[in-house]
Amino acid sequence: MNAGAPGSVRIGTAELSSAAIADAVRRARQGDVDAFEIVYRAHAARIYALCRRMTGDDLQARDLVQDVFVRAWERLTTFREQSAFSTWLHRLGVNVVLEHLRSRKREDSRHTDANEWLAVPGSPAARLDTRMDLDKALARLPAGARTVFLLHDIEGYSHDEIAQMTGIAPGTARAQLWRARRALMGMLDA
Amino acid sequence: MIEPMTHLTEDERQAAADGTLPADRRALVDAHLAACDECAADVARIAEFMKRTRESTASAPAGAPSLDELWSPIRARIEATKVVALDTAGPSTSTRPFLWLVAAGVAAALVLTTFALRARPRDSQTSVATQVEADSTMLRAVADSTRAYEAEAQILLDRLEIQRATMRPEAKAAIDRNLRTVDVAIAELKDAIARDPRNPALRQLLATSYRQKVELLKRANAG
Amino acid sequence: MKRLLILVALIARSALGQSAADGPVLRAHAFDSTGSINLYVPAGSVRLVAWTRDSIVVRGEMAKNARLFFGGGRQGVKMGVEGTSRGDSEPSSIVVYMPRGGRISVRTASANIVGEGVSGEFYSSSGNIRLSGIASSVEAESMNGSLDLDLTTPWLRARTGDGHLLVRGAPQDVDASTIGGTLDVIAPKVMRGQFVSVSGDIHWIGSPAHGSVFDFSNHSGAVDLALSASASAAFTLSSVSGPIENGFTRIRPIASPPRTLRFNLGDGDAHVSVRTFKGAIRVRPE
Repeated sequence: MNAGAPGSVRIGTAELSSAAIADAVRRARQGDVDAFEIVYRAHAARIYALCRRMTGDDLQARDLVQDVFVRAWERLTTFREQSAFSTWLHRLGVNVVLEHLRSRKREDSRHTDANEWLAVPGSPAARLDTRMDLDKALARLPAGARTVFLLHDIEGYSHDEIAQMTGIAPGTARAQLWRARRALMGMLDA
Repeated sequence: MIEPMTHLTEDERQAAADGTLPADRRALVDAHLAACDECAADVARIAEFMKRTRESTASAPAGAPSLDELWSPIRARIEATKVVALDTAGPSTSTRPFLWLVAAGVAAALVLTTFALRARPRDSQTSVATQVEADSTMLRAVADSTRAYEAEAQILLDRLEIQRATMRPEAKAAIDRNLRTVDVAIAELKDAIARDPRNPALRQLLATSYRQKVELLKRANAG
Repeated sequence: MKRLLILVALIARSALGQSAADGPVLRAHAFDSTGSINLYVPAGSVRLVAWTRDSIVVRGEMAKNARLFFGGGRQGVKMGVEGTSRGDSEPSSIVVYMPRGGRISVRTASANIVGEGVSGEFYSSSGNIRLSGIASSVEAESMNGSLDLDLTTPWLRARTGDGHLLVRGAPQDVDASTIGGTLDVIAPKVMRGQFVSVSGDIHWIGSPAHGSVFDFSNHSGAVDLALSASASAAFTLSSVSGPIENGFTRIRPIASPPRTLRFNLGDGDAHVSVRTFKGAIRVRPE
């Protein structure tokens, strides 16, 4: 997966090196909340982007960013320094969003009898403005397909990893991805 | 062997475009693509779409809002899980350094749990008055933090009270029994903190017990 | 060879198949392989079986004067036992066959829950919960029932009040707690474990996995760590007023604060932390 550590990051007027961020992670692991703020500022944009794309909604994304960083604080001592912190945080963020989507799916399950793919692309009426950007098109995808597409094509996880994270079979993940790509290509006229 | 006119399956086209074709299929699919313009064009179209997608998502989404304002609620939630700030950088009066032991935080704060050496040097430069002030500051902090837990627990207890009328007697008995166990633990920890306000292990244990109580009440309400 | 494959397929099919002993078929429904199920059974028993088909089948024996309500479609169903005013306390026996990749949220008052290879949330007020097999994630809670969780799963959360909680199998992330119930852990593949009780004893048998992190916390109950000969980790044991009993004769404690014992076993990078208020901490060879 492609969530590598940032080389440096601008926080306010200061440019922080990845070494400084790694030091902040170490101090945060020891309970230093001020250091954790540095960690937050270094990674918030990426996590927001992840949450925004996976939910398709700004308000939900902002709530989830909070959940991700609170969860990260709670689990910081389980982070092992052999791996990149940004990779660990990203994976944790994916799990938080997936949990959120799952609980929302359970709440919505009574109302989603119909085949949710019917309304997506294919018919001229469903085709969107070709200028529409990817984020808007993603928001029109069924949640399951959006999740698989984002995790695979944007975030770089393998089908096996996606299967493990989402609890669906690798074959199902592949099929969802194919359909998501076709749907997006249809919507974006690609 | 894939005949040129049978065309590739959707699975093969997509996997050819994103490079996830199994090694044993690659040569056959490549041979077909070389001979079939229709499949080759479709695979190229998918690959181009993926390339554009990657380019457009390389940076944060357009119009991403400022996220600075989210830090404050995050910090508040972190602090709320700690009962009190567990670092001892505050009013320490010891001339010897605290000995730290690393302990994974329980469910919430993953912090350095410290054990202050109990034998505080009474002959330190700091006055007894300063120590008393430090202790009372810590006690106030504990009181503030526990109030938050107790307020949450009270809301859940009120909700539970409404449900009691419809509960089975054995369920009520089980809830009461478990609540008594947690409340005894909380009372003992509060007593201990009153005697030794700067012992972070006690505060950590108190936070754990409060969390147990809140979770128990949530479970009881869920039933 | 082809005949052999057919034979294997037939055997597998019959092994996966339902049993008439489960009772008559109450509902059968085509269902998405990743669909969600909501199930409520007040009393009696619930058995959940994961299978590799895209369908759900509900079998069982309903309590007298009770009926099965059932609503939803391919992606989600809500079902349960609905009784008359007295019907809730009459036991029903429900068996649900569901896709392995699906999730279930099951809730009971006193009914016991048994699950094989199922993922989701399992709650019973006083019934026992026994889950086994491979799951994507499991959350199991009871007020005073016992939990026996023999699972291979990346994420397990378990709670009970004064019931017995047993964690075994191969879960990776575990967050388990009791109020007064005993908590037993025999799960060698745990990478991140958090085990908490208020007054119940906690027993852990085995050796921590390479790189794992364990956190045990108890108020007045004991924490008993029976370590296998191959155990390799850094240990920090601390109690406010309880005894710390070291059953190893060859451990040389590292300089520690009062009422704290720190030592390393082997050269592993696992970390085990134990904290109690007045409960005893015992560490000994398995």
